[in-house]
Amino acid sequence: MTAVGAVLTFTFVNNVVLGQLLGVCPLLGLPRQRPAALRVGLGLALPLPAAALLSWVVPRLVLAPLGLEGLLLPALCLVLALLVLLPARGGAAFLLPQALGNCAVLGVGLATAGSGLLASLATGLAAGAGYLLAAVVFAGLRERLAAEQAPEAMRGLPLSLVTAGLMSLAFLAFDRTLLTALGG
Amino acid sequence: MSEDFPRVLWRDNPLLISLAGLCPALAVSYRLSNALLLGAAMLFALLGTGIACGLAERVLPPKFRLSVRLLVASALVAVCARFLSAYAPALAAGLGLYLPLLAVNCLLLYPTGGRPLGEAILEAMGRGAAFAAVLALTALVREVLGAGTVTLFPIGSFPGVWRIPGLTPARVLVAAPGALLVLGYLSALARRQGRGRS
Repeated sequence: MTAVGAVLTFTFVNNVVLGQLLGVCPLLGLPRQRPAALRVGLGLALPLPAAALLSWVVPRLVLAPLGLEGLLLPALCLVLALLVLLPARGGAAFLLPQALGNCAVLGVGLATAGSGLLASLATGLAAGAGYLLAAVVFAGLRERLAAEQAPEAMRGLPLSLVTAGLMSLAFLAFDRTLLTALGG
Repeated sequence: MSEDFPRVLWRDNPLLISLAGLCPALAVSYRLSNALLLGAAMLFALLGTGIACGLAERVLPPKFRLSVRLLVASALVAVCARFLSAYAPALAAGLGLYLPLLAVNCLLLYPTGGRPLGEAILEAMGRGAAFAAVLALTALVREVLGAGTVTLFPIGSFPGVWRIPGLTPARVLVAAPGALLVLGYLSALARRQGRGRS
């Protein structure tokens, strides 16, 4: 995948959350106010480029010399397991478990495995941008929905799911051929 | 337990009520066979982690519990993924990225907290069955309405696919939005039932 293709794919055409359904749970659990949602969304988006970088480094520097290329998944999980043990400070104490439990982190790591450094990094950044975009739009939608009267059974999680579903429907409108033509 | 089991399956289903552990599974729930396969893999991983970590947590300091759980789960899921890609490459390709992603599933990582082994095993089975049931139900709704088919595994002369005649499929249900919409309405339905009976 080229760098431009990766950016277009993971941010718009096949948005990391709304198209590939990675990291849906933390998205639904975002705070309802937009500034807070932006902060938490940023905390969830930042580990994505880091994961992409990690999945470029680990197979080449650790697994290949040992002849263990097939063990990428346990190796990436080992890194996550070690990160969990780090003493967390300040905001990180709150964000770290959420960020690591986000399946988008491992998903981006596994999806970029085998790509070159530039493509991996572009994918990671694009996935992060896509996540942030989804988080901001979602928080805005929920702010508006708070004023509406929903049927009791639909309140909370079901309404969030349907909202996310409709957002995902809107993202289907990004046409791959059009965007690729624009991006060259 | 006999009363708890159906309760966990529908009314207090962890997936429908709080959505724990669902995200990595949603994307492949466009076909029934995918959902059943992922459910089976999840059950295997849950049982393995439940037993191994249930024993290990008796001697491990609490600080290391999450890390050890993550490692055991990832090893078991990796075994599953390698086994499938060796013996059923077509099925493994259908699940793609989402099979290895089970390793960071919240259902697997949720600590069971030093309870007797028998209880931990029952709990793991309950969670696995609940996961498989919701996934299969979502997949059934999406596949029937979105593609007009029901896909199981090909056995002998049975090709594995039933085509339901006279249905005009709504393609959007097998695409990504379908997963979120169907699950949203299923979750609302489960809540309504729960309120009516309690």
